[in-house]
Order: sequence, then structure tokens, then C-alpha cells
Amino acid sequence: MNKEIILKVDDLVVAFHMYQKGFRKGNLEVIHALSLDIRKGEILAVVGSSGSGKSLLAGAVLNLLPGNARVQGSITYKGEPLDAGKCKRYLGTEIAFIPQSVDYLDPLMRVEKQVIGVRGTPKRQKEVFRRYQLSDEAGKMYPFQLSGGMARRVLISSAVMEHPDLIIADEPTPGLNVEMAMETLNHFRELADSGTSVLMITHDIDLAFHVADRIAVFYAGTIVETAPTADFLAGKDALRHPYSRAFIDALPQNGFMPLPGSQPYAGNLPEGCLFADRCECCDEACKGEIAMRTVRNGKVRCVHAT
Amino acid sequence: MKKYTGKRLLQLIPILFGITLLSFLLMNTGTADVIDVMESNSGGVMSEEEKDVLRAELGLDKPLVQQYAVWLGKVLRGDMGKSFVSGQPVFTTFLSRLPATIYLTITSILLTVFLSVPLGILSAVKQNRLTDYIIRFFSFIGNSLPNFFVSLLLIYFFSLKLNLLPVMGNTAGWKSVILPTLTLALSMASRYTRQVRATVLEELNKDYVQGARARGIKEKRILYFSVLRASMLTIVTLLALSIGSLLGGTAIVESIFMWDGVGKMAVDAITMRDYPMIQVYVIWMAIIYVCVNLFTDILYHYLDPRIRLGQEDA
Repeated sequence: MNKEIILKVDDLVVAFHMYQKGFRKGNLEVIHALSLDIRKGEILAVVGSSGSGKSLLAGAVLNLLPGNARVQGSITYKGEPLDAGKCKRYLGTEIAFIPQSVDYLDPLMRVEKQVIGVRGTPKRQKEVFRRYQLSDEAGKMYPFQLSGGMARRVLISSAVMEHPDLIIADEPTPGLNVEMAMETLNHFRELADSGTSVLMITHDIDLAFHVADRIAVFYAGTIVETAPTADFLAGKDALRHPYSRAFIDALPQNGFMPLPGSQPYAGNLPEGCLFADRCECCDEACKGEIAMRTVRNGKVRCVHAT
Repeated sequence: MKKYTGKRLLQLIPILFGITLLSFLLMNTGTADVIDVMESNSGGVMSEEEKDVLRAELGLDKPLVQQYAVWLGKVLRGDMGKSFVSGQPVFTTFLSRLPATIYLTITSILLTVFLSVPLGILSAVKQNRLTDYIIRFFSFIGNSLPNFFVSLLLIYFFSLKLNLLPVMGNTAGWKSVILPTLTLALSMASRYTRQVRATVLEELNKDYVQGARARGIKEKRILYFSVLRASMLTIVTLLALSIGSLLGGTAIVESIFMWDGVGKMAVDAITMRDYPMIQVYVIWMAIIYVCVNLFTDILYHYLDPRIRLGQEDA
């Protein structure tokens, strides 16, 4: 666990400057005080329900957010701050992105040309395509002709073209059947074992269990707990944050127990602990600012965690 | 593809039937017929007997449906008829006017494209910055000014004040085409600049642009190779429609500059109730629009793989 830290995100805040009521402009904060780190050869899965702002995390790291987004906090890549200029230099070479859908490919360009991009070679493209069981004909196709699984493999191919050191995958598995999803994740595992770090953003915690080294639980725009996957597999008692425990309870194999209430949305967040109104052990101490603490080899944002 | 083109061209037949019949009926709902107009234009007075003789000569005394049938029969035999006014065969007159209109169409479309595409792209890329505001300001003005007013302004400055260009006519070589072209292109370019800007902006906000950025592709390359190509799909359709309406002649501009094209011919024919002349024009317009749309669809077929390859699957 003491390998080099590839990506480190500290106190990341993402806000959108936008119209709120009538002509009044305000900042809508969607990610707050988010911290995480990924080491070399590690898969970190960020799991959370839809609408919690997970994809914005990828956007913030890759500097791909729209113009009205304000980003604060520090993002360091291999020890250096990852600013816009560095981002441009590393994107597509050292840092690769696997987007959510085939919409991220140019609809009017053959996929092989896109996979090759500006730096790749046709030879490498053929090699990668063979690796992911894509035929040469698939390369000659346009994105709209690809099936869901093919599109997914094309997107992964384009990410691994340049042997990246860091892959950020945003929901890499939806639309795939279980075997295909497992196969995709196994590809990630192989990449990680050969030294690539993978930040995998997903809402499918079951799949994350299979390959991730650590899992970060995302709730209402921040990470409430980061823990080794083994803790999640061991059951709820090994976990630190009440939301992570509820997460485990809600899994089909654990009785499908839903947690009452819903997560607070951006712009409407409570003071202090974000989970307070759904938590059974909430008390006075939860009303203040909650810092990230290290508890039993994991990180948690809860004053009651032991 | 050949079959498709053939099918589309076959559609022309019912369209031509419908449109010529309709225009025939509409022309005859007016109160004054061609003979009355001729009388008032000649300045003299004709007796009713003289008028009736003329009407009989031109076939105007027969019932409307019969008139149409006679006209149609002649057209099918390749005879478009003679002008009521000049007595010349209308098809020859039409052909002699066509080159001027085609000339003006080509120059003004080219100028429009050369102005609006770069300006629209620049405006989109510099969205909400000074360059964008300036371009939008001028395109707003260009959009708001009516053609006849722009042409008068241009004549005033370039012809009367600076004495650089001829006021009207089509006799001074390349110099005479400048003002009519400018008049047409300025307003079209204003419209298209906004259109190009909107389309490029829309494309720039699509996911594939983010995807390309994430793959490390340079912003310029994304703009020229992906965004522009996708934007052109929209622009081409609009341009084709503009070409269609320009080929129909631009009545106002052609009249102001005494540009002897088909637009001016049509207006003159309408004021004189010159039915055969109007019918030639109507047929021409129908053919243009069917052909221009067909051409656009074929072009699309080559530009957009989603249409080309999607059709084969279906």
C-alpha cells in the first residue's frame, strides 16, 4: 500500500455559476471538500447513487467542465499540480478517459481514425483491437453502427492506445451484460496489475467489489468513506460511515433494506454532517464542520466512526 | 441511388400539373384581364368589338378549363406559347433572361459563404466576447435592413458619391454585378452568420467534443475536422434553399438595378397579366425547388454516414 501516489485530490470544490431564481445569479456547489488519492497500480472505485455528482469529479480532474464551473482545491498528478496546461499535455497520453457513452465519439468519423487519434499508429490500433476482440471491420464503422458492447470496447481501446498511467472511467459497465461487464473489469484489473492506476466511477457496487482495491463512497457531492474493498466484503460492521453500512444493507443479497429518505441535493444542503437527517446516531456533535479522519486503515467523514 | 433519383424526378409530374393549374386559376380571379391592361398601357381607347377580336385571337373567350387544356396540350408538344405583350415565344425570352439570374445567384451565394462561414465560426469560438458582440451587432443590422434600402444606400455611396460603380444595368462587365451582389449577400450573410454561429455552438457543446478533448486532440483540429463538418450538414440545407429562391430571381433587387433576370421578368409579366410568361416562370420555380431539394438529399447522402449506411440496413 505504500506505492507512489499518482493522483491526489484535496478539498475539491466544484460550483456552477448560474441563474437560480429569475435574473439572480448564484453559485450552485455540487462537489464539496472532496479528497481522494490513487496509488500506482491501484483501482479506486467511486460509488454513489445517480445524480450525486460523480461524473463531475471526472470532469474536474480532466479539466473538461463547462465554462461556468468554478473549481477550487488542489489536484496533483505525480506530485505536480495538474493545471490546465499540464492537463492538455497529459490527456490522451498519460491520462486517459473512458466516457459514459458512445456519444463521446464523433458521429461522422470512422472509429479507427478516432482511436488512433493524433499520436497513435494504425499498428498499435490493430493490436489493441485484437486485444479487445474487435474485428478490423469494426474499425471501419461509424459510432452509430456499433453495438453497446462494441462501443464500450472501442472506448476502452482508445483509452489504452498510449499505455496511460492513469485511466479515469466514468460508468464503464452500463449497457453490458454481466459477462461483458466482468470482462471489462477484468481488463481494468490487468491494466492495474501492469502498473496503470484506475479511477472507476460507478453506481454498481457489486461490480466494484470484484476488482477494486479500495472503494470510495460518494454521498451528496463528497466522499464520506474510503476503505479497502475487503472491509466492504466483510460486511457492514467492518465499515465506518453509517451511509456505507446502509449501502451494504440495501444490496439484494443482504435483504434489500432501503434507507428511508433521500440524499440532499446541491443547493439545498444541511449544515454540518450531510447525512445527519437520515442517521440514527446523529447528535449535537454532527452539527459542526465534519473533517475527514483516518479510522482503522480507512478514511471517514463522521464524528462517531470507530 | 439511381432508382431513388428517378422516383424523385417522377414526383415532378404531379407537382407541375398541380402548380400550373393553380396558378392558371389564380391569375384569372383578378378583375382586369390582359386586354384591359393592354388598353390602359397603350394610352388609346379600344372598342369592345376590337377587344373581343383580340380575346378570340388569344383564346381568352373560351372557358377557363378549356384554356388550360389548350395551353397544356401545347406545352406537352413543346410549345410554351407566345407572350401576349411582345408576341415573342416565351420560352426564348425566358432563356435569354436566365443567364443574368444564374450569374447573380452564383456571385451572391459565393460572397455569402465567404463572409458568413468564417465570421460565424469566429463568433461561436469567441462566444460572449468583444469579437462576438461586434459580429452579432453587424449581423443584426444586416438582418434588419430591407434589401431595397440597402441597394439604395449602396447606389448612393458607390455610384453617386464615389462614382466607382454603375447605378444600374448589366452592361459594364464585372463592375455592374458588384452592387446587386453586395445587396443580396449582405442580408444573406447576416442571416447565415447567425446560423453558422448557432450551429457551431450547438456542436461545440456536444459530448463528442469533450470526448475528443479527453483524447488529447487539439482544439483547432476538433473545430475544423469534427465540429465544422457536422455544422455544414445544417448549413448546406439552408444554402440549398437560398440558392433555390435566388434562381427564381430576386424581383426587388433585379428591378432596382435593372438587372434583366427572371425575377424582373416575372414581375413585369404579372403587372401585364402576361399569362404564358407567368406560366413559364411557375414551371421554372417548381423545377428548381424539386431539383434543389433532390440535390441536397443526394449531397446529404454523401456527407452523412448515418444516412448513407442507415439506409442500406433498412
